[in-house]
Amino acid sequence: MKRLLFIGNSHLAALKTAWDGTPRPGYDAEFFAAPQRTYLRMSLMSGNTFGLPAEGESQRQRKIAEATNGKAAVSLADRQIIVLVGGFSATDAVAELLADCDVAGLREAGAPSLLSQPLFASICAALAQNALPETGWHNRLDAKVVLIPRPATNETCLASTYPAFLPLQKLAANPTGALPGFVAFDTALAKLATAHGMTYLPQPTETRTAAGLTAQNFLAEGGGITAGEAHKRGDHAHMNAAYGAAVVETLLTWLDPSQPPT
Amino acid sequence: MSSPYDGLSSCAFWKSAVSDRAPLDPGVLYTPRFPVTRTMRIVTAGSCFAQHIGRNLRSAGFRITDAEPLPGVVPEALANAHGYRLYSARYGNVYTTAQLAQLYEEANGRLTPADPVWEKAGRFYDAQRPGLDPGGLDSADQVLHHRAHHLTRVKAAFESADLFVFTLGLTEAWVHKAIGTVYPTAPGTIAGQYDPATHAFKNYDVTEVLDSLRGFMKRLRKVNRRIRFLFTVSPVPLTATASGQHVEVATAYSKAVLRAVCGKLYADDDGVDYFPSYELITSANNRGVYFEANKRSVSSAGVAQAMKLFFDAHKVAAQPAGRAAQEEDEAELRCEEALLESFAR
Repeated sequence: MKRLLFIGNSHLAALKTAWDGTPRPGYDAEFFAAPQRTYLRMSLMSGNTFGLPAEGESQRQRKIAEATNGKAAVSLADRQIIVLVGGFSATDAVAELLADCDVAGLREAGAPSLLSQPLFASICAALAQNALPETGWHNRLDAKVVLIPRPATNETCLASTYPAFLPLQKLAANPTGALPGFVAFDTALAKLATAHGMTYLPQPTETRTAAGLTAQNFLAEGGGITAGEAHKRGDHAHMNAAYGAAVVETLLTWLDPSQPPT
Repeated sequence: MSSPYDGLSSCAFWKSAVSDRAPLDPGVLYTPRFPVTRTMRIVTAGSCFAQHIGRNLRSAGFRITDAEPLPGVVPEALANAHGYRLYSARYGNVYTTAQLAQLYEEANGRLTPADPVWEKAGRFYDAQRPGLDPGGLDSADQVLHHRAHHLTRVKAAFESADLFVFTLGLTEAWVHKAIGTVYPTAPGTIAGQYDPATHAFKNYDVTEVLDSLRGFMKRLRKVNRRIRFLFTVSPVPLTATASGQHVEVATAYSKAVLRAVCGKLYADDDGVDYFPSYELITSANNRGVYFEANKRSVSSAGVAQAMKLFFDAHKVAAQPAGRAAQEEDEAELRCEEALLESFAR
């Protein structure tokens, strides 16, 4: 029996729904999550726990954590694999970079700035450094730590008039070299994670479009988005159980490469 | 019989304008010839002191052209190390007026610099900005590819500007003897090879500096008639001289030449203004406090004082930035919903 603990922000919902929807013999999994603002207040604490400290946090944050999990902190004891989900990512940052800048030999779409390959690699390394979780997760001896990023923004954002999506719309209009650019970032983050005793599992390739966005069929329902209609901001960040299933399969394959996908 | 000095303002007399002025009081050193506004498209270039001017103008909400921009996700130190966000294009420090004129000629395809690519330990560098790719590039072709792109951005920036702010820094440079190409650094310092048969030291005189700057202005005005110029002289002394003179003597010569050129251009051309950052920083009234301990680098207080003088004279202040807090709250609410749907099952 492999004992897993999933910890994350709201992006953990898609994975949990997928996990709960299929029996997983041989696995004992626990999920612990909080919305990003609450999640950011959580940390590793004494007693080998993770969550909100007993004192010093607002009642509102505690109520949110307890409403989701029934508790405000979770024990890490006896967990062989800890999967950190969605709390870190630079996908949007890489998208913005690729939308605004060309990279010599990778993407030359007429952007005003042309980055050299060494500079692009340095930027990816810097973004990866910022994307790592707190140092308490590094080089743990008691459990393997796996990092799963926040999904790339869904391609439904292409119909939004919200200005924050302009870089993604620009990238989608000419996606040449976009995916290799994201892969370069994933490679940098994977290398860095390994150097710190962790494993990074990038977003499954089959969930992404050529522009690096998450494909439309993986969007969670209820985000104020109607297919075919223009919308202002909407929620293009959260994905559905089908997306969660794809991520879970990636995780299970990593955990046991001999097992065929379910 | 009256004197021609009778009736002049107090700033015309050393005693009232300097001796009696409180220490660190900048006084009325600068009266703008024309207004500089936040709607003007401003291009900045020059020696390292110009970086301070560009950065402060941008922070104050002026429309500083960035022809080779990087998104905010790129860390500042990394961007700066590669020449981004320093000037209006990624040309690095332009120390001499000859280099400025050469850059614009090259951007227009009227000039090809000699030895455009320098090599060091199997890596390749742009000889006109060798410090901007730390570690170099893989091949000479890559260097030329990046340079060709850069030149299109330089041309676009210069030719669309309303105001060109240039800080004159040096008169000393290293040139290619046969072709006349001027380099921003001595060959062999960052990359390349110094060859006495090929390269020569050059210390430009007043006529040469004036001619190169006038030539640049004339050619730019042919395609950009509205452009005006704001010149400053860098108060930063030479870090080293190859002139054979004491570095202080060489600095005095260099600054005197540059200041004289600015004076001549200001006198002859209504489209030119001069901002006295050199005078402000080096004034005896400041007792040297606007320099760091090395007596060369301008301190942050000095930069702040220079920019205050500029902003006060143009009657502008820094602009605060705002945030969309309500939208953040809406996004957070959606995060809670997403979780509750899954975890409440």
